[in-house]
Amino acid sequence: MTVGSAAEAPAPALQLQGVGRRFGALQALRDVTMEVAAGERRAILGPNGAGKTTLFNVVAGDFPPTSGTIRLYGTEVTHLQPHRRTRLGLTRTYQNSQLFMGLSVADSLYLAGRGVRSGRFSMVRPRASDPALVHAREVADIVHLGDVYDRAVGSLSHGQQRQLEVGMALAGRPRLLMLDEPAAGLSRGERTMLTDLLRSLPRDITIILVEHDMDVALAAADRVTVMQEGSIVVEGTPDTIQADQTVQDIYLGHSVGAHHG
Amino acid sequence: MSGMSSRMSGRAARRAGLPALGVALLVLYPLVLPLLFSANQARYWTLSIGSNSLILGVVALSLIFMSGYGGMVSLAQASLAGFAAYIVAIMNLLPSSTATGATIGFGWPPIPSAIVALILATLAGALVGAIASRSSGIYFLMLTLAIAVGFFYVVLQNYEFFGGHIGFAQILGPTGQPRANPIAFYYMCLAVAVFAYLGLRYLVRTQLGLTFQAVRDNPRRMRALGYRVSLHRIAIFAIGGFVAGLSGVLGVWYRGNISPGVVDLSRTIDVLIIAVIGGLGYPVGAFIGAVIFVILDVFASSVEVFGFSFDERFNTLIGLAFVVIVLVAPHGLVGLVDRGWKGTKRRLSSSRAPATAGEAAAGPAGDATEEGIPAPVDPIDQRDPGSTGIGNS
Repeated sequence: MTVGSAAEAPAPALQLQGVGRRFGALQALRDVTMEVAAGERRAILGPNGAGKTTLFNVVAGDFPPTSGTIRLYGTEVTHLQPHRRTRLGLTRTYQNSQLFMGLSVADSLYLAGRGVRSGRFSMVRPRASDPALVHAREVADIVHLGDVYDRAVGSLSHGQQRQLEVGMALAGRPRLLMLDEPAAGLSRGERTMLTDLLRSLPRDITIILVEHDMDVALAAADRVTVMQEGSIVVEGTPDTIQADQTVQDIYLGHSVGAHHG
Repeated sequence: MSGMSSRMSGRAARRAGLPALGVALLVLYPLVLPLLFSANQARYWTLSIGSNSLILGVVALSLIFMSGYGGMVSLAQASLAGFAAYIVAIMNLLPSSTATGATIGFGWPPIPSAIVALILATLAGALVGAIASRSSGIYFLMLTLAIAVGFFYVVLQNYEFFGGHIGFAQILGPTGQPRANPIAFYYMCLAVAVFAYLGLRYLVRTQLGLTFQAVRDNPRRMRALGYRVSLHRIAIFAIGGFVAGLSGVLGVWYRGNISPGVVDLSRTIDVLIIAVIGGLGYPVGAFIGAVIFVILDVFASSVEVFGFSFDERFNTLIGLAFVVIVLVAPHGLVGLVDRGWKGTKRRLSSSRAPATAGEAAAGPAGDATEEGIPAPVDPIDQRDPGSTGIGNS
């Protein structure tokens, strides 16, 4: 099913085949099989404990799956170290910001851009015209951090730190961008900004998004995958997902009609 | 506006000016001494106080660099310095000239011997890093301590390479006998210390130096950005080994000999004490701490408190000084001055708040990048606890 089609059509950005992850007695992921096409925007929904972040960690390489295979643009990465996956074009953000509190915004974005290129051990100070510094500046403007470019990360507001979280993932020039609840803790205005940003990203970046905020998730996604207890329950377009009775029962609750009505 | 810009330029001037002033004073120091003291005393202050402080300062600098920018307190720095000292002796001497009948020795001149010693100290540092950086916290401390103690017993018991308990003597540096030409020796130490200090200050703003600080702050994120974190940890150990090696080379030229006593546990503790007295978060603290340490060492015998003499009780005295500083100034003496200065400045500026709002806003990042080390960190390496946990979705 997969090998033949992969030869003809472009390889999917991400292909999971029977991926499982067990922590002791807990089966956090159970036989997850999914395919995300290149350029697609995919939202992953599900209640707390559904395995969404575990799925992210397994795909990013924080720990290997206990079963199954993971392919990134056709290359098998199941047991590849995280930094190698990043160099293959996979970048991610975290549910709880993982930032460099002692560095400035500029340094963080510069490092984020340099991680996927050679010269990581350079002992020469970059000049102001260094392409990596210019790129860092551009990314700062894209995520609206141009005004605080030289500030220490620790002194930023929560919203700004979330923007930097996304900016650092973008600075690595990803082909596959995985966002783990990017809207968590953001104000209404900041959410709108985030949605606009996601919409503005070029289609050569594939995006997978875990998001509790339905407005953000459904506005940004082409397709939606719903998970529960480590398994995929249903997959479809935002419209079919919203109409799906199972989804309403397990995740959205019966109040969803009222919420959107 | 003009007031603000003049304050800004004043701040920039102070940043460039303070180190330059310090270096100028250190350059003048041995030249002024003969005007104040007898020739013997001037030589003593040049070598035993001045040069000795610079040599100890450089090895403490390597520790402060690794702990401040890498978040790793290594207890192997004194051993790496001692390792470089031994290599200088082995490269410099001929087997026939050693007291123990060592089987190897090359009779090389001082400078090539030192270059070999520095290369090997850098590699040894990387090796220590490859071993120790796999662990964290108390285990990291124990591993570096074990390496230090192990090296002491190797040199104590090995006669073929390290000369056993006797070690090596009559090792001369490029300036000859320090006592014969104290000022030349002092200037060599000063040049090396300035090189190490400025070199590290340059390094921390390069790509590599930034990766050290980022690995310190968040190794998990560094992996996710495409960095192989273990290699960056090894690199910081290699640089720490190189800087410690500089101190070791100067030290063996200063003493003229090397024996296991130079790499025993008390030297490891000395380096730690110097770094803590000066301030673990401040590179310049290495030298401040070293001066205080050396002066206490030298004058312990003449200190008397309520009729209680500290003669032969240097360790009691330095121990007391250590306890007082840790209790009163947990960020070291430089930290005490730095924080006091910033506190005064804040009080001053808050009384004229509107005029200085711009400066206050520019404050944190500017201070973080130029002075001291940003975000004082827990000295014990905090490894990412989240990477093996269950995802919290």
